[in-house]
Amino acid sequence: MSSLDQIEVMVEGEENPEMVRSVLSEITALLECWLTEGKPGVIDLQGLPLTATDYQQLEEKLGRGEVSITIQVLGKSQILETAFPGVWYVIHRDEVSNILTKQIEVIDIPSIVLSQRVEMEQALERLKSDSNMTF
Amino acid sequence: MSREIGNNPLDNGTFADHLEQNGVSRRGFLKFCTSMAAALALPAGSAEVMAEALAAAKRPTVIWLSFQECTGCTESITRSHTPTIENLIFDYISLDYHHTLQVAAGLQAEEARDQAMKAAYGKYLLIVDGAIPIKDGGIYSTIAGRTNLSMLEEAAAGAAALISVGTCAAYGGLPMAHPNPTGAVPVTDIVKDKPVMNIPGCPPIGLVMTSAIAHFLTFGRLPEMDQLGRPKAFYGDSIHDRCYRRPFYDRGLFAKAFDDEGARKGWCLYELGCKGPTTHNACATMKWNDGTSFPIESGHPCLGCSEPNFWDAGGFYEALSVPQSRMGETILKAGAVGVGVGAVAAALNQRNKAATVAAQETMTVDALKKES
Amino acid sequence: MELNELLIWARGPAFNIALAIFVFGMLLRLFEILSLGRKEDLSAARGSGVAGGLRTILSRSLPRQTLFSREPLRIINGYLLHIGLFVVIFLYRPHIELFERLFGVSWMGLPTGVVDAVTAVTILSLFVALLIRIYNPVLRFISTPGDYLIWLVTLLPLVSGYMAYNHLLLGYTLMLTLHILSVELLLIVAPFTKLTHMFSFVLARWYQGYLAGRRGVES
Repeated sequence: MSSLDQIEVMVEGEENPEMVRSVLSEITALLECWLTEGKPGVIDLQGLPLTATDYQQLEEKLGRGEVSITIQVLGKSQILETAFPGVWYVIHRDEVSNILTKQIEVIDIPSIVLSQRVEMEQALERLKSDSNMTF
Repeated sequence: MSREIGNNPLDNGTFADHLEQNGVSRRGFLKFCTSMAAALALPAGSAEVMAEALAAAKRPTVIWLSFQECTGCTESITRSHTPTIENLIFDYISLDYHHTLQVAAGLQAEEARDQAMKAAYGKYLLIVDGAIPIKDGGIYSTIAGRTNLSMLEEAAAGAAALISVGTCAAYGGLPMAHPNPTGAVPVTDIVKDKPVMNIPGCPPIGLVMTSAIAHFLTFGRLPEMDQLGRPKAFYGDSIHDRCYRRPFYDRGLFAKAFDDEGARKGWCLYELGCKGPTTHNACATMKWNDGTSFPIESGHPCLGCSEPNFWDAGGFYEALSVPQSRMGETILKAGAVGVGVGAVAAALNQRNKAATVAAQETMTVDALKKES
Repeated sequence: MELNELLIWARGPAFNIALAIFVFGMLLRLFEILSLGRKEDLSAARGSGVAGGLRTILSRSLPRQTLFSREPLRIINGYLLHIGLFVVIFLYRPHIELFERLFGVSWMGLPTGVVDAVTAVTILSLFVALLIRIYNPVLRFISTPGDYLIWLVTLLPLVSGYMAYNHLLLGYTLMLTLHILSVELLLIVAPFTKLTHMFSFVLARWYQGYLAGRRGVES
């Protein structure tokens, strides 16, 4: 009897440089827009029909920058600067590490990193009540 | 921002309060909104807007009616192995009636529905899955002794908006397939005076539905829809146009059987009956089972399950270009008639020819001389 | 009627009707032509009529030096049009699927991109053919409304197919439906117009070649 893993399956990697080139040109336009008009830009990579090969090529082109941030909230989120300052990978995962969104953000700092005002106010109250405590 | 949707009278908390109670931070919430905004293909910066508006949203009343259906849609939307981010919204909405999910049964269940409807009359969101049989007064599907038809009419009257979940509610689906013994119709055949959004699919993708609800809560209206009442963000492209196997179609490389070389190499499934070119859905990019794959990625042609009449659109494994008719029979019959009529026409032609020949006078030299 | 219902109708009942009319009409026409017959040739044969007939069926597909030098554009365009139609109809994989269903035999197709380009050339050659017909005084004089009709019904499937594949103007589903319907129109019109030449050209060449061959002259 044959088992499933005996069936030979090979998926041809489809070379599609057009796809990567168009993503790169969109990034260029978004960065230009951010610098001149101050408008942030987002590219949803999951909304594009990119193959694994395409992702790899894109990652090779963009490279890695100086900043990498990990956020632990409802699963892990990674915010990675590329070799092009202002161009970030923002990857959100759920509790079991499935990718929720994989985006490229063009901005000085992705807003998910920033502390939220409401929570900072709550923090202030907590600190004030804590300051009465003695060490 | 005006919000048409009704508050649950039993709960005055906002969505933000609900999140806080469940230990979800604002940053976590923003993460949730990012995935919603991405799913809805909203422009950059929308996640922040959404987070702000949604945080202030009051808990909405939602009534879910199931008619001629298989519960596959409910399964698709609720069946996730881990607490997912879209569960946030499901946990939050006040699902006051859903006869598969609720604990109450019988009279108590029907009472809950009545109460919820009265309390949030004109403001609740009504979700329907399943088609509605209307033949013979709608007697082919009843709940608690009432026909689906009358239950829908009553519930729709007090709804702010409706969402038809699944192909059956949206377009009639399987119950409406030929010969449609129960006279099944989609929701839009009955409800004409309320905004209705269709989320077709057999079943539809769970995130599509939660995103649509999130949009409704955020902006107080349903997302932009196409001619078939589907949210454009998810149903704007055909499976074919978003398919990673599309380059093989363009190069003319097709799998011709499920176990041939082409199938193993992941070539285009057009010739195995893929309905991707005429099917609009988000499967190719959003994928199924926590982003594992979608049918074509698993080697199976698209059935076109999110399109109207997909059950009656011919064999699932027949190429889109192959006519759905008995061509051999047609050719034989038409050919026989053609030959028969041809024989009659030939006989007539021969007779005409003979008559013409007979009618010709034989020209003689004398006759010619007379004429000149 | 919803879009999908229209597509289902076009792929089902409508195709059946069109195919029936096409087969019926074509057989009727061919039967008529054959049954008219020829007068018995009582002269002594100077050569083989059969060989002449078969040879002519093929040789008439080749250009003639004398004609070619007189109207090269018309002849080259004619080749482009007919070879283009052959490629588009018989070497596009989705079309081959249809023939396989019909006759049980399959053959290799060309890459879709190639067929797409050939379609564009074929459409252009149809327009050139129309211009030649209009600007050539003799051709214009002998042209009937039927000639312009068959030009149109040949053009429609090409244009709708091209537009469907390239996502032009209308959605794919509607364009595909229009494409199928336009082919059905072509099938219905064909037997009752000069489009019968898709089959009858064999008979006409055979007669010419047979007569010439029997007389021992070149044809």
